[in-house]
Amino acid sequence: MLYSLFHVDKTLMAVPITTILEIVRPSMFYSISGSPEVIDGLINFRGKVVTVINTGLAFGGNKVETTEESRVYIFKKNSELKVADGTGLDSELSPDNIGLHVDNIENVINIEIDELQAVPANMAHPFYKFVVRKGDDFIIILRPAEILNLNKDRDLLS
Amino acid sequence: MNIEDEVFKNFLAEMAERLIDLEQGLQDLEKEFSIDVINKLFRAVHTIKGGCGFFSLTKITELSHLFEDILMKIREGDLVFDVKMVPTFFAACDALKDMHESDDYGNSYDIKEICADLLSGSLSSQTFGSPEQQIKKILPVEIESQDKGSNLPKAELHNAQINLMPVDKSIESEPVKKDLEKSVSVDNDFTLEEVIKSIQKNSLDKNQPQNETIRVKVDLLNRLMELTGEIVVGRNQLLRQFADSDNKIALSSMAHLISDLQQVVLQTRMQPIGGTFTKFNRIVRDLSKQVNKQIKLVVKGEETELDRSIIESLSDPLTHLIRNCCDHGIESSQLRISNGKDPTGTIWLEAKNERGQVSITIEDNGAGIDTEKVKLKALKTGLITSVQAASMSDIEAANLIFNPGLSTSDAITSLSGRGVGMDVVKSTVEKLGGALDLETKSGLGAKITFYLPTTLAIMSSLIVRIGDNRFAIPHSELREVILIRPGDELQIEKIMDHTVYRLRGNLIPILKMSEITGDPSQDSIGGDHSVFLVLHSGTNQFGLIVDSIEHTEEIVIKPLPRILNKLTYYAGSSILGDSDVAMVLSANGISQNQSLHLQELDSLFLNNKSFEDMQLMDMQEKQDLLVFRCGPDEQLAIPLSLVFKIERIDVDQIDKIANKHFINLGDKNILLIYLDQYLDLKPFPSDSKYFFVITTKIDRFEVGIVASSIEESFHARLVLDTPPISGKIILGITKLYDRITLILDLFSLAEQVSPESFKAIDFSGKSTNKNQLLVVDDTPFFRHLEKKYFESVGFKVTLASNGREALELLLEKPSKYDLVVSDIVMPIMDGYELVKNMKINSLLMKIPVVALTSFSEAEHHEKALAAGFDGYAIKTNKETILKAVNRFLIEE
Repeated sequence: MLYSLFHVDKTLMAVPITTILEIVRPSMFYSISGSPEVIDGLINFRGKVVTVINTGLAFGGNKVETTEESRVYIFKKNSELKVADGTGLDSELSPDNIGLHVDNIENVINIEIDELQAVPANMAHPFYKFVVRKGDDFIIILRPAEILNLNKDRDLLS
Repeated sequence: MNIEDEVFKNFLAEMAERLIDLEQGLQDLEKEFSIDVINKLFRAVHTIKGGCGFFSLTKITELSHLFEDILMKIREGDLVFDVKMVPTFFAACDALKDMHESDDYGNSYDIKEICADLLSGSLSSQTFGSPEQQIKKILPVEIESQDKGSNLPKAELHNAQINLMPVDKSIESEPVKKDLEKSVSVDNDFTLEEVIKSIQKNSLDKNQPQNETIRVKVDLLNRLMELTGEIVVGRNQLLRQFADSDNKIALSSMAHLISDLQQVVLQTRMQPIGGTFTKFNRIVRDLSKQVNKQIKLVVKGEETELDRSIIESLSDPLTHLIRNCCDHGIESSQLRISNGKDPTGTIWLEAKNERGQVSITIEDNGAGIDTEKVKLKALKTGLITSVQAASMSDIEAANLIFNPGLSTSDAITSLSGRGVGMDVVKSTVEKLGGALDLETKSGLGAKITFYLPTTLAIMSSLIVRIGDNRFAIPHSELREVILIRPGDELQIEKIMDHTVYRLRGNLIPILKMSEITGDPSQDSIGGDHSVFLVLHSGTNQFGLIVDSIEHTEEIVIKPLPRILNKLTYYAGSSILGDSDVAMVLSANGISQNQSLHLQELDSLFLNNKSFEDMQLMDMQEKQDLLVFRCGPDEQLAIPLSLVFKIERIDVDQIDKIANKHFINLGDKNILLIYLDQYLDLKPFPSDSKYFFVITTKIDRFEVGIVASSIEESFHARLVLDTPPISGKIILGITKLYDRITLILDLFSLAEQVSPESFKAIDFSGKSTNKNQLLVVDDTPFFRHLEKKYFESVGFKVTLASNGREALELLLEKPSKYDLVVSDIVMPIMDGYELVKNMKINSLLMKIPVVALTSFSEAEHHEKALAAGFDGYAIKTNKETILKAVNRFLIEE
C-alpha cells in the first residue's frame, strides 16, 4: 500500500495516500478568534472551508511555521472515503475535511502489511498506529482519524 | 383534499421520520449507552404514540406506550439499561415499522409476543420493586388498551365499506348503521359517511399520482440550493474583480439572472405555513372533546412562507404547544365561568413576517403557567436550589419548563405530562437558528413566540472588522448599529464587571470580542470613537464592540467542523466575495455562552449596589430638565415633568400689591416669586422689558417662578453634587453646558413660599417607634424626593425601585417596616402585584400599603383600594402624602 511521507518536528511520518484529498501549499490562514493555538486557522480550498491543524503543536512539539517547504495535507472526509486496506488506518477519518500543516513532504513509498510493526511501548502515543523501518529511515505511521478528531477524547482543545 | 386526510398523510410521513430516528437511536444505543440517546428514543416513541392514539391506531399505540414506559423507566433510573434489551427494542421498532407500512396500520397485527418480550426484558433487569409490582404498574395500561382494541379491524372495515359504497343511500336501516358506527370509532365522533369518504380518499391517493406536481428528492433540492449558493458567491467575486471594468454588460446581465435563479431556487423550498396550521383545527377540536373543555382556535397568517425544512421541523413543537394549551392552559368551562371568563377558551396561532424573520405566536387565554408548581417540580428534580427558587421571578420560573424532564402535569396521560415536550420545542427552534420567548400571566394565559429565519440557505449579513479579523453577522440577528461619539461615553457604565449601555431605557450589556472568545489579542483596536452592534436572540439584547463596518453581503453559511464545535458563539464560517474566509457569529450562541440574561444583569445591578450607590446611579439616570436663568450668571433647572406652562410676560403686566408681585394668567392671579429672595443669587435684572413665568403642576402651589431667560430643555444623565449653597430648596448642583446649574426642589420651595398650605404635618410617629418606611418607586427623581419628604419629618426610609425588589426586602426582614408607600406603574413587578403578594403572606399582610401615583382620577383610586392598597395619595401633593401615611401609623 502506498504511503505519503512527511516531516513534523524532524520526525518522519506517513499516512496512506488513500486518505488524502489533496496536498496544497499553505496560503492565507484565516484565524479563528477563540480557537486553541493548535489550530492554524481556516483556508479557502476551492470554495470549501477547511480547518487546518498545526501538526507540530498537536504532537506537543515545535510549531510548524509557514515556509516554502511547508505543506497542508487535506484529508478526505468520511463520506469521501471508499478504500479500506484492512489495517484499520483509513477506515474512519473525520466528518469534515481537515488539513494537517506539516514541515515538508517527502516521497511516496510502498509499504507492505507485513512490514508494519507495533509501536514500541516506550514511545506509545495515541496518534501512532505502527512503526516501519525502511533502510535508515524510521517511519511512524499515523492514525489520521485520531488527529483529525482532536477533541474527541483528548483535551487538546480546552 | 379534506383536512382529516391531509393530517393523516402528514402524520404518516412524520411517523416514518420518527421511525428512522428510532432506528438510528437504537444503533447508537447498541454502541454506547447514553441518556441522550434514551431521550431521543423516548421522544420518537412518544410522538408515534401520541399521533397513533389520536388516529385510533390502537395496536401501534399499545406497543409504543409500552415501549415508552420502559424507556421512561430507564431515563428516570428506575430500570437499569442492559445491552441485552437492544434486540428486543429493535424488534419493537421493526414491528412498528411493519404496522406503519401495513394496509390497516397494524390493527390486525399480533403484538402480544413483542409486548411480552419487551416486558420480560425490562423485568429481568429491573432494580426497584418486585416483579409483581412492576407488572402491576405496566399491566393496567395494556388491559385498558386491549379493551379499546375491540374495534372492528380496519382492513375488514375497509372492505366492508367499499362494498357498501354503491348502495350507500340504501343503508338507512338503523341497526346496521348504528352497529357500524359503533365499531368504527370509540373516541371520535365521525359519522359513518365521513369515515367512508376518508377511507376512499386514502385508497385513491395511494394509487393515483397527482398531476400538477412532481416529487423531487430533497437531496436534489439541497444540492441545487448548495450549488446556487456557491454560484452567488462566485458572482460576487466576479463583480468585485471587474468592478472597475467599463464593459461588463454580459457580466451584469448574468449577475441578474443569477439573482433570479437564486430567488426561484429559494422558492422551490418555500411553502406557506398554512398547511401545517390547518391540521391544528382538527387537533384542537378533537382534543377539546377529549379533555372536555370548550376551546376554539384562531389562526392567522397562514400565507406566511418559510423554508420547507423549517416548516417540517415546526410541526412537532407546534403540536406539543397546542396540546399543552388544551391540556394545561385552558381551564374547564366551569372554572372559566367562575373566574369570570368566557366559558370558551381561545388559542391564537399566528405567523407573520417581522424584521426579516418569521415569528410564530401561540397564545391562549387560559390559566397561565403555574410558576409555583414549576418551581416545586424543579426543586424536586434538583434543577434549582431553594435559594434560587426564592429569588426567581415569575418569568424565570416559567422558563424552567424548557428543561428536560420537567412537566407540571400530575398525571401522565397519553396527551402530555411526561415532560418531553418543552425541551424538544426549545432545542428544535434553536437548531433552526431561531429563538423563542415565553410570557405568562397567572390567570390570563400564556404566550410563546418563535422567531425563525425564513431560509437556512443564504443569509444577508453584515461584514464587520474586529481587530485583525472579519466577521459576518446575519441581519436577522442584528437589531441596530450604534456609533458612540466622543462625549457620549456617559451612556456606558460599569456595573460589577459588566459594561452596560443604556439604550432607550433598557440596560444592555456590551461585550468585547475578547470577552466572548477569551483571547485578548483579538480585541478591537479602539480609537476615539467606537461602534457597537446591537444583536438579539429572542428578546435578549446585547452590544458587541467592533472596529469598523465593511459592507453587506449575501453569504452561504458553512457549518463549523466538528473539531470546533465547542466554539458555540460561531454559527459557522463563510467564504466572502473577495474569497476571504470569515467566521459567522451567532447571537444565540454568544448570549448562551455569556448567560446574558437581562434579568440576571438587572438583579445584579440591583442587588450588589448599596443604596447610596444606587441612589447615585439613579440620579444619573436620564432626566428631562428645564434649564432657565434668573439673572445673568446662575443657571437653574427644574424637572420638566413638573412644569405646567411657560409664559412670556411684559413687565407692564405685573400687578403690585403691597410688596408682592402678581400677574393675571387665564382667570387666576398668580403670585410671582423671584428666586433671588430664596437663594443667594444675584438680584433679578430690573431693566429687562419682559421675562418668563414658569407655573408648576404642584397642587395648590399657584405661584409663578420668574425667569429672565429660558435656555432649553435638557435630556441627560445627571451627576448631582451636594449643594455648596445652603438652603433647603436646592436638590443638588450639576454641570450642564459647561455651567454650574442648580437643580431646584420645587416641593421645598412651595413649602417655603406658602408655609400655611404646605406646612409640614406633625408627625406622630416620632413619639412611637413606628417610623420605618419602605418607599417603592421606579422613577428615580420621585423616589429621591419622596425620601426627602419623609426624612424631613422624621421617618427612616428604605428605597426600592420596583415591586420585586420591595418584596425581597420585606421578606428579608418582615418585622422591620411599619408602612410601605408604593408607586403603581413600575417595571418587573407593579404596585398591584406587590400588594397582592403582600396580602397573601401571613407575615406581611398586616403592613399597611399606601399607593402613590400621579393619577388623581377616582377610578384609579377605587382600583387601588380594590387591589388591596390601604390608602391612596397623589404624588405631587406632599401634604396628602404625609396625611395618608400618618393616618395609618396613628390608627395603629
